[in-house]
Amino acid sequence: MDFVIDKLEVVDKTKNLVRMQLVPDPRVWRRTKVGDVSGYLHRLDENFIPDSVVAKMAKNLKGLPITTNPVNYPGKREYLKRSKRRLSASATKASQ
Amino acid sequence: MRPRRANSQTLLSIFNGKTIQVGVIYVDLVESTDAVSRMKPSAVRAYYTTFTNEMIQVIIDFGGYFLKPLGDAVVGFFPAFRGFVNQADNVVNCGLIMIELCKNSISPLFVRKRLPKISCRVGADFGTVEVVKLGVQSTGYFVDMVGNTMNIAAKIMKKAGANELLIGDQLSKVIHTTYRLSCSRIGSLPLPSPYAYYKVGFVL
Repeated sequence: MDFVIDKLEVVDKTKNLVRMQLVPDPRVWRRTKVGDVSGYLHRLDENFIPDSVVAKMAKNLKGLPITTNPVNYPGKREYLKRSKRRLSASATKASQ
Repeated sequence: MRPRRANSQTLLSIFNGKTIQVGVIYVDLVESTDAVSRMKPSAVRAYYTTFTNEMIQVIIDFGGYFLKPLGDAVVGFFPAFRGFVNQADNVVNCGLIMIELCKNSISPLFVRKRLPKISCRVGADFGTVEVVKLGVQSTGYFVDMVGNTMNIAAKIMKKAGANELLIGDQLSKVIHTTYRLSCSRIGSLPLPSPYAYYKVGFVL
């Protein structure tokens, strides 16, 4: 489940301590009710996650560090190197 | 040796007449008409084949399939048979690598070969497409994909500037959050209900 930061407050600047409220990303998840059960519906694949499951998940997150994966493609450098080799090989072939 | 993958025609003929979910990517050479008008025929061949072949290779390397060339553009697709989140990220990574390759691999090679530098523009989206067999018996058939997602991805590509990747609203919803946070809304297509598109603003 993807979350976005809804509210953010600095608790202790010296310790870089902040308190934040995370909500399921509204661009992906829509609040809805299925029967009597409230929860979040994925806008594309229609997976439904009831509030009780989200609450349980939040409880399990207690004490865990929050990390964010930087957007990258780890093999980029190697891939570009390989493509350069491929390109010069095909250019040589074409000019023969 | 890597096992040979089925080509897109073999894959799509299995789904002929069906609706499938795919990521669609269009990559187009920017201002190629002008550049080509001043080239010798052999240079024109090298110019197009190098670009097109390299873009096809990138699509395949990132888990996609080459659908067809379209003038000086290349169309690829990423079927989401086994979940869409990773495939959606693959579409974005593929687009970004295409731009990197044009800037840092193909252009320097072209300069060495006394050809003009190139830049590309990329448009992509995610959604459902209809698989159809087109053609007549006497000339043979081509299995193609049609529908809104195809049209939107093509329209979005036309909005992109040189070395820019733009993605549609639907794709922006299925990529990972870290990717999504790096997207900024550029505008919307004037469809019956306006359809937002985003610039992917990070460098891999």
